[in-house]
Amino acid sequence: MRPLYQFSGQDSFLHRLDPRTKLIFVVSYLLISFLVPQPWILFFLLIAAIWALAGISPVEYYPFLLLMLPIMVAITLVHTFLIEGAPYFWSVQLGRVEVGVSIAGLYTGLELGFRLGTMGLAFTLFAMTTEPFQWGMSMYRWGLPYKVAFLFAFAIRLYPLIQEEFIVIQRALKARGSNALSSFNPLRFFPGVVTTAVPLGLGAIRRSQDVAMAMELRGLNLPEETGRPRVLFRDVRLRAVDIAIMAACVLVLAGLVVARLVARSLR
Amino acid sequence: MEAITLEGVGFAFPGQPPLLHDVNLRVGEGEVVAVVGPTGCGKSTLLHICAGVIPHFVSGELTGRVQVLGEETRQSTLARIAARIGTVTQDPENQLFNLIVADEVAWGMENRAWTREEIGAGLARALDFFRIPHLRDRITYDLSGGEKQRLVLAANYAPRPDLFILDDPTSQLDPIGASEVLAGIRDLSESGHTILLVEGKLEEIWALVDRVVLIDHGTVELDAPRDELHRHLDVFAAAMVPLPQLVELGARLRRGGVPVPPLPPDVEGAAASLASTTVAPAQAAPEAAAPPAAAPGAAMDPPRLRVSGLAYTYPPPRRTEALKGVDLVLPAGSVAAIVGQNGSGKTTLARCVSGHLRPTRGTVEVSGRDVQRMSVRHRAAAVGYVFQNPDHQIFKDPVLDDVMFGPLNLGMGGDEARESAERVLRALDLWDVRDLHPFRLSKGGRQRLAIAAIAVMRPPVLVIDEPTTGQDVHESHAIMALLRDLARESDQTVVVITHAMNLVAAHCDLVAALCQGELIAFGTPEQVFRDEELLRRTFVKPPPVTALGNRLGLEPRPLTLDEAVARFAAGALRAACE
Repeated sequence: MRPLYQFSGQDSFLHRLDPRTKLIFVVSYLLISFLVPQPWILFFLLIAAIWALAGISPVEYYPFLLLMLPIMVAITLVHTFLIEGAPYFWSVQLGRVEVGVSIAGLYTGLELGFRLGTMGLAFTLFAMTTEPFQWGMSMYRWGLPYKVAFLFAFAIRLYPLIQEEFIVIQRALKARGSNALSSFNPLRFFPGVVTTAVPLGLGAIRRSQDVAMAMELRGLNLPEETGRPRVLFRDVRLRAVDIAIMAACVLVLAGLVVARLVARSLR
Repeated sequence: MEAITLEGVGFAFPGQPPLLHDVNLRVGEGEVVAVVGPTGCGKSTLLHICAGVIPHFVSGELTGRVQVLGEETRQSTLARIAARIGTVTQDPENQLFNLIVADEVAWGMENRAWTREEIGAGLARALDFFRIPHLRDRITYDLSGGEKQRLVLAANYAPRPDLFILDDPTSQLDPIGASEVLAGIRDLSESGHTILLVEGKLEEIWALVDRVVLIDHGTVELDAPRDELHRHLDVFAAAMVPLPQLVELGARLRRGGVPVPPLPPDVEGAAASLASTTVAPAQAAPEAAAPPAAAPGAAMDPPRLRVSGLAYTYPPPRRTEALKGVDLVLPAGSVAAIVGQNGSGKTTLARCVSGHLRPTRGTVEVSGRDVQRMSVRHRAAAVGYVFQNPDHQIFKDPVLDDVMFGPLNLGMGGDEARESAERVLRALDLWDVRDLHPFRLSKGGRQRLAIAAIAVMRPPVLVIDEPTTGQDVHESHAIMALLRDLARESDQTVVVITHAMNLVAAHCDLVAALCQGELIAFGTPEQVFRDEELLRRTFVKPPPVTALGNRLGLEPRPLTLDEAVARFAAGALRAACE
């Protein structure tokens, strides 16, 4: 199991796409999920696409699915109970209030839950198939200053390390007899989070100082010093397939928006 | 021309007394100079001064003249100084910024505005030089520690620097990783590069070093050619910096009047040198031999720690079978070491013992109780686990509160927790710093604090992962002696995961050697270190004096330098009498 949102390091059709293409695809997909009536189809379609086009089976990111599941279930249940209107699966009169499980609520809850799941999954697809530095450099090609783009990519590169550090700290907390981070009691859980933040935060500060020094020693500021612009050894360029996918995303999105507007005007 | 010239150099961090003063040092082109000294003596600071980090990145009061590669560092900028120097520090993790190996090596050349063709050629040359062309497209965080540090060396080598500054580049690595990196440094020195390095393992770099500079009390106490070091035993002893074990053995014997030539640091060479003399070490009487070991599964009533048929397979997609049915019984009051190369299953075993991992098969019992059936609190009270990095285990400020945190979690009253904390802090020599923030302690101090924070809960079993990583030899022995005292005085069973075999030999009662998830050897250090062939399977090497004992057939094998000196001196005395 990899830490969540970590680049998978494989070579596939999705991995080879330009990060900008994937970003536009992800944003379009999210918008589409709000425009179509049955977002669970898009949710499962995305799982299939990640498997077929990136070679990443759900086993590799099941912690993410496990993390999303209670949130999706909670959203569905809340709407099932809160949205009123017949037909009901089941209802009971409590004094003057009728509490019921409505079919309309269930559908609304499922739609919202799956939309949320689709959003998370789309970003997971992006993170697992996009090398952070390609992403950073593509932003650089679109005008972001090099240092900002590089440090942004580096922050993503650092994320799995911090996640691993967090797991070790969580174990260290257990070794000191505290189970606060596994507690469902917020009065125990949140102080536990604060306690964990001390070693995690101080470790991150220490690490950032060491990394900043190492970057300077490897010549981060040399181009500014010498006035000779940096050369990118492995540059990012949009290919025909990237442009085709971007265009398809925009067209599908535009088509759906138009169809929805037409449908609304006909009603 | 000299690569580095320091004249009357001093340095003090803001608001602190001078760390370095009157430092004079010259490093000629093509020379390899090692800097040694006790922890906190200013070795790394000296390297920072040479690399231009001081005064351009780290502030403080720098005095004297610092000239590196013909340039006064104060008059230049860090970028310009660094452009001609390859600097490698201890932790490879903090020196890798890219995700793909090729990008990492290319990055320095990109910053120097080399053309794509030049970068491609430099990349291939650097990867070939450090024998890692097969890693070119790998993800950096998937590499082993040794591979990561070799990659850092390659990334620094690629832009063709004129000088290498290496700050203890093997201190965070396991023996395999360290040997890989040392091979890289050896290649650098053989190709004529100028190198200034701090390295704790002097015996490992012996062959490639021209001179050794000893820093103590903030200044250069000794600057001598390698082959003359044996003459300066007192200076090294005063600084509590060890010479290579066999070099020191020879020097101490000669000082004691035993007619032996200066010994080289390698076992074969030392054995050959001794063979050319008439000196024969004394064989101990049979009754002085080490007591028999507690064999796996031996009857001990009740066994403090019993590991039975322990197996662990990591979940998919990793699916590695890390432990394959390990049996182990450890008595109360003993210190046991778990040794073996990385990936042999040491940490997995320790995590199963401490209950952080649930075994796939088998059981772990502490005083007859199954660890997996205990709650988090009961488990913390039964098995203490000290993680490798002390900084991951600091939860409270100041030191006293951090030590009291565990007992309070276990339901101890405030007064009782404070009393227990005071006792442990005094034993660990931390009572005087009880009101400081833990991060103001030295690395050794924080390591002792991590041990205190677990020991205060008085667990019957104490598991410690690499308690001496990054510590100098003196501090390492102090920590291990302390663990032995804890085991003896509190009747605790202490389990230590370590790669430092000289510490195992000097302080541990039992050794368990793991190889690919299996227990391949178990017994006293004297017993286990006899079978070098078996230990080689898991990349464990006995201490040099023990290995020398193996070559010479000494019974029992000497485990420490003191033992070896006594045996050879007694042998020489007997020969003289005869």
